[in-house]
Amino acid sequence: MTQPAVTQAGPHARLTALCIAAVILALALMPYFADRFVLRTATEMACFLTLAVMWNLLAGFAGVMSIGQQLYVGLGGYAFFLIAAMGGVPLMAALGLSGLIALLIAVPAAFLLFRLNGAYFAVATWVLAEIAALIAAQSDAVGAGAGLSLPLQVARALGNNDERTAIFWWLALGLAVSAYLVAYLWLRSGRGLALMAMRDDAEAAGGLGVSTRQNRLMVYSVAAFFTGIAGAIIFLTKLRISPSAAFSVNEWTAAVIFIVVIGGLGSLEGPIIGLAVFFALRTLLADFGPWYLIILGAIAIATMLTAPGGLWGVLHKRFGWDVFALRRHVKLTIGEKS
Amino acid sequence: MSLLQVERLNAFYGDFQALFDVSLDVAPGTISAVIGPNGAGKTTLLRAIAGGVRKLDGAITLKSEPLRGLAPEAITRKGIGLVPEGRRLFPSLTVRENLLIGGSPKRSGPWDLNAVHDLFPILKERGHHMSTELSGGQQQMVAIGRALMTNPDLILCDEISLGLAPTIVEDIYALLPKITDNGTALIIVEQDVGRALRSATRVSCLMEGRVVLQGPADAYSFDEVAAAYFGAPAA
Amino acid sequence: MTELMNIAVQGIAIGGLYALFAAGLSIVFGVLRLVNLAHGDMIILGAFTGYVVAVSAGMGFFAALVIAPILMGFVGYWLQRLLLNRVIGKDILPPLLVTFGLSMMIQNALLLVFTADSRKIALGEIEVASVQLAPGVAVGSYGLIVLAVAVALIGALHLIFTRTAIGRAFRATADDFETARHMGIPTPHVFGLATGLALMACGIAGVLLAVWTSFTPLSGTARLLIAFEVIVIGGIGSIWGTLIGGFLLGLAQAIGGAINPEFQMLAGHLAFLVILVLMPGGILAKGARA
Repeated sequence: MTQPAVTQAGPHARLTALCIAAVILALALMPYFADRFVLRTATEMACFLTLAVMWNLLAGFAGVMSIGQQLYVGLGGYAFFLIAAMGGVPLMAALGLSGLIALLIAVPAAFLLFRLNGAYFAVATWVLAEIAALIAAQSDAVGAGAGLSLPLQVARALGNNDERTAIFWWLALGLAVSAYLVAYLWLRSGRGLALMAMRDDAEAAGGLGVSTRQNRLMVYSVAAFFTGIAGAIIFLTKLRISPSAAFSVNEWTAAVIFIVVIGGLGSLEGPIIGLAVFFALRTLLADFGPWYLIILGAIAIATMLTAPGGLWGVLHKRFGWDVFALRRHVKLTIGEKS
Repeated sequence: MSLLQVERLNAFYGDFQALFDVSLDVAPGTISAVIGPNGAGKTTLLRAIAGGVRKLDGAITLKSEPLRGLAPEAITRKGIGLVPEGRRLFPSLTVRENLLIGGSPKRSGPWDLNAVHDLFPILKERGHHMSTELSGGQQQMVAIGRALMTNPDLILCDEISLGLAPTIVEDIYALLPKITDNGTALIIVEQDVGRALRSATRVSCLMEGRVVLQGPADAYSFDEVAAAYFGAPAA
Repeated sequence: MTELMNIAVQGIAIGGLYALFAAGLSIVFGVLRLVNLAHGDMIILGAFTGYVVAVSAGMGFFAALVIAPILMGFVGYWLQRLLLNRVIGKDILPPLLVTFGLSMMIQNALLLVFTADSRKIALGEIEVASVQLAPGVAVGSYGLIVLAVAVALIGALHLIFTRTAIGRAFRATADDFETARHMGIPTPHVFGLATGLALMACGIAGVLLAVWTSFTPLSGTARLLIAFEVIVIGGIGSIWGTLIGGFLLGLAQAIGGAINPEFQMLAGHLAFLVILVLMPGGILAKGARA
C-alpha cells in the first residue's frame, strides 16, 4: 500500500489569494468613491459578517449550537460605552478591551454551559443572554432600561460625519477580515481538523485523542471575543445602546442564523452569500412588517429540509467551487474507499 | 415454494459496497445459517432484509411480495422478526413490556405472551424486572421472545450466541425447533461454523460481501466450509 | 411568618402554571430527544386559540379549555408528521434550526392576525376570589384551579407513559428508535402522537395563562425559557420533575419579587443557574443526560 498524498491547497490557490486581496483593497478604498448611505450599509454588513462567521465556526464547524450570541454583542457594546465614558482610551484599545471583556465573561459562562449537552446548551445560552439583559435593565450604572449614549466628545474626536463614517467602515471591514483570517487559519490547522472531526462524531473524535471539550471551549471563547468587538462597533455606529437593543435575540442571533443557514452551514464561503441574500430580502420586504420574518423563517426551514448545506453547498456540489481550500485532497493510488 | 427470496442483492453504505449479488432462498419452517468472518456482510444482509439499509439494489420478496424499499416497521408487519445483534432490549422497559412491544404490529398467529412464557418460563418469573437486570442468556431469550411476539413468518437472528456461555447457547439452540415447528423459518448468523452446520438445514458462507459457498448444510463437511471461510483459492 | 407563608403559597401556585408550560417540552424531549425552540410560541398559540374560542366566538373559558387543546393536538400531530419527522436524526442542528424558524413564523403570523395588542381571557369573580389557608395566609382561587389542573395533567401523563401501550411505544422509541421500528412500531406515527400530546399540553397551559395574565404574540420567548428552566431544575426527562421544577422556579420568583418586584424574573434565572452549578442533573437527577 502506498502512502496517500495529502495536499491542502486547491488548484488555483495563488490566484484565489490575489483575487481576495484585490477585493479587500477595493473595499478599503470605498470611502473615496462611495456615498455615506452605501458605507453605512456596508459597515452593518461587515459587522453581520463577523457575527455570521463566528456563529458558523460554532455551529457549523464545532457543532456547538448557541442561540445566545447576543450576550456577547451586548456585553461588547456596553463595555465599549463604559470604557469610552471614562475618556482617554484610544479607540482601537477600547475596542480590543471590549472584546476581552466579552471573552472574560465567556470563559466562566462556558464552564457552566458545557455541563449541558446539545439542545439544552442552546437554550441555556439564551437564558444567560436574558439574565444579562435583565441586569442591564436594572443597573443604574448603565442607564437601566433607557441605556447609554456615546459621550459627545468621543464621537467628535473621530472627526466630522464623513470621516466618522469612513472610520466605522474601516473598523468593521478590518474586523470582518480578521475574523475570516482567524477562522481560516484555525480550520486549516490541526485543531481545525479536530474541530471538523468532532462535528461529525464527537465520540469518535474523543476516542482519537481529540479533546472535544477543550476545543469547543476555545472556539466558544474566540467567538465571544470577535462577537464582543462586533457588538462594540455596532453600537459605536449607532451612538446609543439600550438593553433591549443590545441583547436582542432576533437582531443578533436569529438574523445571523438565517445568514449562515441560507448561505451554507459549515463552509467559510456560505456566510458571504447568506449575507447578500439576507440584506436583499430585508430591503425588498422592508414594507411588509411581520411578513418579512415569516418569509425569513420559511426560507430557513425550507433550506434545512432541501439543502442543509445552504446555497454554497448547492454551488459547491454543482460546480465544485471552493474559494477557501479547507478540504484536504487525498490522492489514493489504490482504488479504495476514501 | 420458498418463503423468502433474495436475488442479486447489492447493498451500499455511501460509496462503500457491502454486498455483491447475494442471493438466498429460505423455505418455511427451516433454519438457514449465514456464516463468514467479521466484516463479511452477514449483519448487512440481515439489516437489508429487515429494511435497515437504505441503498439497495436487487430483489427481496417474502411470499412473492416485494419488501425492498419498505420501512422497517412495514417489513415487520409483513412477517419478518428481528433478533438484533447485541440484543438491543429497551432499557427503560420491563421484561414483560419488552415482550409486549413485539406485539405492536398486531399480526395474528400462535405467539402471545403466554406462548412465549411457555417457551421461556424464566421470563414469566422475571416479567417485572427491568431488562437490564437479567443475565445475558435471559436477555437473549427476551430478544427472541420479543421477535416471536410479532408472529413472524421468518426470524432473523444476528449472533444469538455472542457473549453467552456455551451451555446457555446449547439451551437456546435446543429450543429453536419449537419455533420452526409452527412453520416459522429462521435465518441465523453464527460465528461457530460447527454449530451452524449442526443446526441449520442450509448454509451460506459470505466473504467480503459475496457468497462463496451455498447449499444444504449436510452437503458440506466442516473442513470444506472452513476452507471457504479462510479464503480458499477462488478457483 | 405569614408573609413568608404568603410568598411560598404564591410561588407554588404559579409553579403549577410553570409545570404546565414545561410538560409539553418534557414530552417532546423525552420521546423525540428534540428541544422544541418554538415551544413558548406554541403555548401562546394555544392562548390565542383559547382567546378566539372563549372571547371572539363567545363560547367561554371552559369551552376554550376543551377545544384549544384538541385543536393544538391536531396541529402538533401533523406538524410532526409533515415537517419535524424529516429533520429528526443524530444531528441536533437541523431540528433546532427548524423549530427556531418555526418560532419566528408563529410569532409573526400571530402579530399579523392579532397585532401586538395585549389580550386576556376574563373569568370574572374567580380571578379575584381567594381562599383563606390560615390566618393572614390566602391563595387565589384561580391559582388553586391551575395547580389542580397541573397536578392532574402531570398525573395523567405519568399514567399514559407507564400504563398504556402508546406510553410503552413512547419509551421504547426514546430508548432505541431503530430497534423500535424493527419491532413494528410505526415511529412516524408515534412521534406524531407525542408531539400532538405535547401541544395539547401547550393548549391547556396557554388557555390557563390567558386568564392568569395578559399576553401578546411576543410572549412566547419568556415561556420557553421558563419551561426550559423548569425541566433542567426538575431533572431532564422526568415527568414529576416538571412539577417540582415548577414549584422551585415559582418560589424563587416569588422570593425575588418580594424583595423587589423587578427582581422577579432575574431571581428565577439565577435559581436556575445555581441549580445548574450545584446539581447539574436537576433535583430528581436520573444521571442520564441528553
